[in-house]
Amino acid sequence: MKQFTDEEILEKVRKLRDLLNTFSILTQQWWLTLLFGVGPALFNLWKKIVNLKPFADLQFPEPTPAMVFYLIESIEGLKEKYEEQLGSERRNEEDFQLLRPIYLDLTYCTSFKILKEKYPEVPEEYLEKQSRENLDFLGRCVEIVKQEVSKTDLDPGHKGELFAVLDFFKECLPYLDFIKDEDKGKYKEILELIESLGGE
Amino acid sequence: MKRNRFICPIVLITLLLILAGCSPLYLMRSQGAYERGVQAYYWYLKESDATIKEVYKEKAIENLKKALEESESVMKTDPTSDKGYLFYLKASIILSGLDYDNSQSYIEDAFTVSRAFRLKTMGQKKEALGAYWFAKCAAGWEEADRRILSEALAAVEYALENLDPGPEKAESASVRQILEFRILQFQLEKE
Repeated sequence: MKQFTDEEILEKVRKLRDLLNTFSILTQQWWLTLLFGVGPALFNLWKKIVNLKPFADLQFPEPTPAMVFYLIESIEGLKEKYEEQLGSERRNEEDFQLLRPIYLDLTYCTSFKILKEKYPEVPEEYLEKQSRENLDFLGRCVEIVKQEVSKTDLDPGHKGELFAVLDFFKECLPYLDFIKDEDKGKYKEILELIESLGGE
Repeated sequence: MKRNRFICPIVLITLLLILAGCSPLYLMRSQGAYERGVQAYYWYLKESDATIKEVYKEKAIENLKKALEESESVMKTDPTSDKGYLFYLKASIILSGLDYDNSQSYIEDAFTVSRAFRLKTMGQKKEALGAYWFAKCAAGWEEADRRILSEALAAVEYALENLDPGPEKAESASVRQILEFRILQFQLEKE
């Protein structure tokens, strides 16, 4: 992978600052809260910054209706709970919309606690495995960014601050829905930190 | 006769150059239509008013269908570009949920494109991405037979091993689960 110079890192930080500023403004709008859920947003913003991904890649991949029905049908506990919706003659758009968030939770949520609370009927071992794998697949991205930052000759103080931001991003990954009120303070701190870094 | 022999290749080359020149334009249109479609799709998901929801839905369908058309042009005029394939596949997936009555026809077409994309990426840097798309489309295509599902399962195993960490890799685990479930269903039906 490419090694970043100080200048390149600061350029990325500036971009991050701009993006996060946009993010905090846009989340005031109801329609973007869904699009920029805190976990995917932070994760994807970094993905965008590091890989220069376009806007189209700022969401998690969507499933097709059949994928949603098959996945839920294959899970013990959910198969019984949604027996009516899963019947092959019954399947319709409304049921797809009802079951779609469950597919997204099970495919991308990285928190065992959240999955357990939302799906008590599903065996714990399954949820534990899902959340662990999801954290591995998604959280590792943050680790890769950290490794890349560590290879640079950026000032150790700045490196430490960037690592702190990245660790916070990693902590945020479990949240697939909305920004929690108690997290909003952290956002402010991050914006200030990035502001100071980007201003150099 | 002699003159015709010279003219034909010149006309052919000129036509190819014109087509190649059109490709960036198609790509720009494809991306623009896809982005508008996706935005309208998220508005549709969030909206609670039935009338407004329907407006967003129509807007999303219109733009995503446009993205399909433009992506097809990109694939025809610049087969070396990955973007035409990717916009086509992504737009098809969302359309399959929005235009529910035609869901499977979008996926059937997407499956054909995913197969071409997989062949195109084989032995290249994006081979795992090609395998992921092929497996995903097969998993969501109800008509896929046992052979296709088995081929898709092998593809998704490859994707899981070789994709970089990220959402596609996370989704590959669900795709694998779906494919295993569907193959098991085939086995049970046989018994």
